[in-house]
Amino acid sequence: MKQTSPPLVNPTVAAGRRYLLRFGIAMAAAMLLIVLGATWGAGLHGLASYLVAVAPIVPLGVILYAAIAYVRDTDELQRLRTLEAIGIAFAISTLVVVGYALLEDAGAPRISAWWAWVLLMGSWGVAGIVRGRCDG
Amino acid sequence: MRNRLKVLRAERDWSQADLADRVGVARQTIVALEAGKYLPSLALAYKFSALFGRPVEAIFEPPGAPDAEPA
Repeated sequence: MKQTSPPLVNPTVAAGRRYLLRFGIAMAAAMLLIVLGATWGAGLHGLASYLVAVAPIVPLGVILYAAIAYVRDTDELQRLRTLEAIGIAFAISTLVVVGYALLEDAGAPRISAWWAWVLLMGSWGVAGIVRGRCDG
Repeated sequence: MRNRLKVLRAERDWSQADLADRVGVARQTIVALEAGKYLPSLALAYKFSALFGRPVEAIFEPPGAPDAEPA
């Protein structure tokens, strides 16, 4: 006979849902501000153009807060796996960014610093998926 | 590390998600624990102990323990 109990709110599941909600809203806002900065902001000059260009930092900061809150609120194994994935992403990104910076000094074409962020986020995602699969 | 989580869970006809909700962890954490791929903290081990009404050492075998089934 299956034992029943009152409905429970699993704090780890709730933490994951809060993270996805915050991440989704903040990422959408960041994308909107980036597009606005590249289109409407292109006609601005001086301080206004800088403010519009840097505006996506605010929602990106919310994403950082969401990640920190998730690490704080999730269970011990998910916290460990998340921090491992961040560490692996940091190591990969550091090697690639510094490696390409050395290549640029040697004459390789200069590329946008955006790629460092894309690399960090991408390697974080891949490391998280690979580490999760190791747990079965 | 071996443990009796899967047996104790099955005795109560709980799914992995049911057990995860009862101790407040992700289902993936239960998967890793049952597979012996993760050694829980003392705090989490005591949660299982309280839930199943058994001492920690009756649920989790310490690393390097003999092959005999736990009591």
